[in-house]
Amino acid sequence: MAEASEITQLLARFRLGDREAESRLLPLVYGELRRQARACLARERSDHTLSPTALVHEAFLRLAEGGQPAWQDRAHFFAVASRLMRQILVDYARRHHAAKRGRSGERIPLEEAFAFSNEKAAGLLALDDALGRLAQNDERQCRIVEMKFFAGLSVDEIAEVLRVSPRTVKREWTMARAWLHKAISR
Amino acid sequence: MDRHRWEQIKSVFEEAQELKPDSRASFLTQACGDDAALRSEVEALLDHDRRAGSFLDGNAAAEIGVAMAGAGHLAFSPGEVLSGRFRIVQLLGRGGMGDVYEAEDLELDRLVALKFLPHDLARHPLALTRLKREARAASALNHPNICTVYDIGEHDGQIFIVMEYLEGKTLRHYLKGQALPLDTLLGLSIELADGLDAAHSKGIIHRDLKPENIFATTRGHAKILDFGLAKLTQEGARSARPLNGAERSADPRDVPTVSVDAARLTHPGAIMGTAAYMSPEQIRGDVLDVRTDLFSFGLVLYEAVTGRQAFSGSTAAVIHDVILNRLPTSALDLNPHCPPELERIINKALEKDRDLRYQHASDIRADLKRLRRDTDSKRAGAAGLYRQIENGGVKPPLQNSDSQMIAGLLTRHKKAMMALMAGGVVIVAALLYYLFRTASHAPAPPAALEFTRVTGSGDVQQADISPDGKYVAYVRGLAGQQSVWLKQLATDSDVQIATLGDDTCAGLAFSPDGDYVYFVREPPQKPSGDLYQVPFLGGTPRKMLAGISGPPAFSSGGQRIAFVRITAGESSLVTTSLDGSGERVLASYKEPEEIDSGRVAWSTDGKTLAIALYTPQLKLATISAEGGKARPASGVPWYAVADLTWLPGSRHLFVAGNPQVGSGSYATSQLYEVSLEGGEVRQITHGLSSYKKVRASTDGKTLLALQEQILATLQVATPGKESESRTLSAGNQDHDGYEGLAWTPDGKIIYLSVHSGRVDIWEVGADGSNPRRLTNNDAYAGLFMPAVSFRGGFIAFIRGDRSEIGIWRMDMDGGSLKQLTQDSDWSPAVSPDGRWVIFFRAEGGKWVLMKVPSEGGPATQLTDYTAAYPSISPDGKWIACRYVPGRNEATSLALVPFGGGQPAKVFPMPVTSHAPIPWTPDGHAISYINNVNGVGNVWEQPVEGGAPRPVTHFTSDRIFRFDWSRDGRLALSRGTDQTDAVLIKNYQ
Repeated sequence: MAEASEITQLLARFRLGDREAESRLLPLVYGELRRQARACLARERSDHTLSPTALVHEAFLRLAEGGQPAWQDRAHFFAVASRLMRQILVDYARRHHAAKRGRSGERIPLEEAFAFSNEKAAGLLALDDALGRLAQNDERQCRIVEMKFFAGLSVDEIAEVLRVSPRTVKREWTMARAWLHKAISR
Repeated sequence: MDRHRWEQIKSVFEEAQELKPDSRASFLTQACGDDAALRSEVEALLDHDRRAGSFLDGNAAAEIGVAMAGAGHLAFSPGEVLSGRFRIVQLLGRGGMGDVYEAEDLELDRLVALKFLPHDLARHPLALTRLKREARAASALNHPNICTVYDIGEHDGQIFIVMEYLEGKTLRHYLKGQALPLDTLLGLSIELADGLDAAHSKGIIHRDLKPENIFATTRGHAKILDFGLAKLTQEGARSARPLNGAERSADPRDVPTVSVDAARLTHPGAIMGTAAYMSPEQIRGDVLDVRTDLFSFGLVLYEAVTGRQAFSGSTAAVIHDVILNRLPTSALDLNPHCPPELERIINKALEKDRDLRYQHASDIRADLKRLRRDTDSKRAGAAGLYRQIENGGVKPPLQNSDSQMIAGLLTRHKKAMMALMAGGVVIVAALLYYLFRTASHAPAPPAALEFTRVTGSGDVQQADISPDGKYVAYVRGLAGQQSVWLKQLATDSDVQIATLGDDTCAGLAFSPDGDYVYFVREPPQKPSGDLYQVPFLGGTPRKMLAGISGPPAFSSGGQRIAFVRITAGESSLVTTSLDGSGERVLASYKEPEEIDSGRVAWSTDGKTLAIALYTPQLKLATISAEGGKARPASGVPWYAVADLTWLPGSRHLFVAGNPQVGSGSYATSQLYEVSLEGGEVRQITHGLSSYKKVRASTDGKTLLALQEQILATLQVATPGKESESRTLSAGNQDHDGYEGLAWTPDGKIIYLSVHSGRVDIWEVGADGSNPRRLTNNDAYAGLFMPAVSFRGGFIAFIRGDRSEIGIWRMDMDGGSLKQLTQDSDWSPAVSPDGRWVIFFRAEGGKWVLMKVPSEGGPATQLTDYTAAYPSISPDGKWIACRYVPGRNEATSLALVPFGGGQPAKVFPMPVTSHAPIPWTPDGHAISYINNVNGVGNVWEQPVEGGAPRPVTHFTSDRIFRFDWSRDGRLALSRGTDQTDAVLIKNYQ
């Protein structure tokens, strides 16, 4: 795992708009989130719902271990993490979707087939696609959806991250949700 | 959409959205004017906002989280490194049990397979314990036809098994509705029977033998997978899913299948894949023995011959009924090419009454071998299978396709190679420690190691292989009862060629012409001995040379002999001719430099000798046979070198020992190949067993090694009621208590165990409750001999890694670690008031008693004579210890005043173990272990005098350690510690 100080530094640079920092941060955080997700799964009972918020918070704590990162670091971490959560979950859906179609008699674990319906996987993939288009129109709305839906952050937390009022977040969210619903229903 | 347009829509939508629905229309008319597209877009959004309902109200992970959790994993991506050591290469497959990955072992630079276990199983502590135990047991198999389990790993709470990476396919793949060619079938099945036999002889049952668990490598060899794991999966699944009903009633129709047929899907809860390959007794739920595997083996044979399952049915219940009550269609009817003898073999394996079945895998192997011999097959070898493999699109092996077969594993475990010589020998105590596991940088060996155990007595001390590789000479027996034997390998016949009386054998070697066996007799209490020669077929031993420490080495022509001679403060490497003339001292070292007397090796060209030299680090060195300066052979330092031998060609040494390279878990003493050109150290063996000697035949094709295996359990017994002893250990593989144990004042037991994979101090209730690990030995140090005072308060113990060697203390809960001494100290005892820790140390060339304040401070010497293994009387006034009155005198038991000084009382005492000698709780006697002929009992010597008497009356197993509770119960570590000679072939 990366050194906590490295993460903190990258977060600081990321906050100052350093894109390279972001690109270096992503794999670190990505790995950590996956690690967390697996740890959760290993710990929890199998019928337990995975809590993405807990995941993200825990990932942050681990990555920032030892340091005393400012709230902004935390906020930016969430921003990064929520994007990654989207990526992880969508990857998962994509993988499942592919597997479900099956390649020539390939065996698929029964549990997996049980639990994750094709519809859900397809739905998630469609949403991801629509989000991509939404981002072209409105980056911030896309971010809000990522943070709220994929990372489970609260409106207040999102407002902190984006440095806007909670009211604005709510307004943007409403439109984004309507737009996505429309895009997917099409 | 351009930015302006989006902002426009957004602004209108947001305003409209905040209005009541019935006022939106007029607002839109006003806001959009004649921009119909704008209005339509906003209206659509408003409409979707209304219809969205709970859309995206939850969160994504909650939506699919169940799925993720249910699937039990997130896959690992190529490149990810697990446990800092295994880099994922690719997902190989997803079994019912869990995912299997190909991975690179970065430490040992080889490919491995990682098999993940279902979380239900991994979460279940009991299942996990069993798994580790079984995996360890399986890992000890070291057989070319059994897929080697190297290790058990854990990554973020997920448990995986590290296995040999194999290239090829499972037998299932080749059996898709077709029979195997006869020669292929016979070849594979003989190998399978061989693998089964090896496992069965160690008491390990497969329980789930089926084509899915049998691998045919691209080279056409058979490998049995998942040995011993079936039991765990089944039990783990059962305990994890108590409501799932009896497994035998599981019906495949209840389980939605995704692909292939139901009977072949392995599912932890349903064990469907097993149904068609279960034995009748397995179905009935009887206690299983090895014969269950023979039935399953018969089923596999049947299927391989006929291309059809012997028993099939649409549900497990139907299959079970058929297995119990019907006979399969004759194999001959289904395959007219099937030899009648093969059908007979199959039918005998498929006897429903296991008493009528084959009883041993070796029997079925013999029948198959006979059949193969008698079958005048016109077919060309294993070509059939190769053809299939090629047709199956598998590339022919590029190189070393099954090179990953190195036997054994990398596990942990260990064996402290304490060079504490029997009988309180005075020489500096070479306390060798548990050591870091070692690693190498060279690629994996190119072929399967083939192990054959050639002795079975378990008490082999020395061994050598004859130059022609046909005979093994060995010394067996405990000190004082040793004898020299010769075994002819071809006939497996043994003949005793010499006995040693009271002496012990310090080394054994064949003469290079193979005509004589030479051995070194060392009298008790003496640091050196005499070299004897005995004709290879027996006769009167003749004394050849005196003053030899350790084993002799011959020059290849046999004219000269090399050995180490140790005198006070000096060690020399000496060569002489056999009649003792022409003695030459090649090199001499003064302390702290010293030649390890363990072994000298002569290169095959006779020009160079190899030794192990303390400088003070122990390193391998070479020295010209003409004399001169020793040159380092490799930069790698060793913790211990048990033996070394020169391979033909003079380029490589074979070493049994523990090098200080690599990192990781505990090691046994293993075999290594050391290159004399680059100095690289390559690990050859792995596993639970320690290798104490290594020799090679002249052609270098056969190695002989002494292999040691410790099996120990922690037990609580009341004297006189030995039969009611309670075993606290989960198995016998964890060395529980082997390195030490102690009662706490409140009736718990502190003991050492390698259960976690490293040696740690554990605590357990006397009833076996709440086993708890007190230390987290992430430094891989050796820990030994915990001691607790009668008042409790703290645990004193030995920590044995090089940098932090000494006596340590910690609180009863494992906290507040503190180092008290920094020397090679041993056997701590805590005074009843808790103020002092008494121990012994090598001081001035002998062992003396010392004490150190338990709060820390300087240590002071208590005796100026040889004394060791102190224990303190309950009243705190006396120290009982082993006592050696003077050089060449026998070890006694002595009572020494707590403050030190001369012994007040001395009693005779046999020395059959290197364990402490605790006082009985009433303080009237001192007790010790007496291991006689492999059976250990506790004896006591009354302080007031009189003959020692037995306290316990066990009739089996040695005792390694014991301690008394205050209420008179015994905690014991009992078991066996067996050393046998093994032949290793095929290592090159």
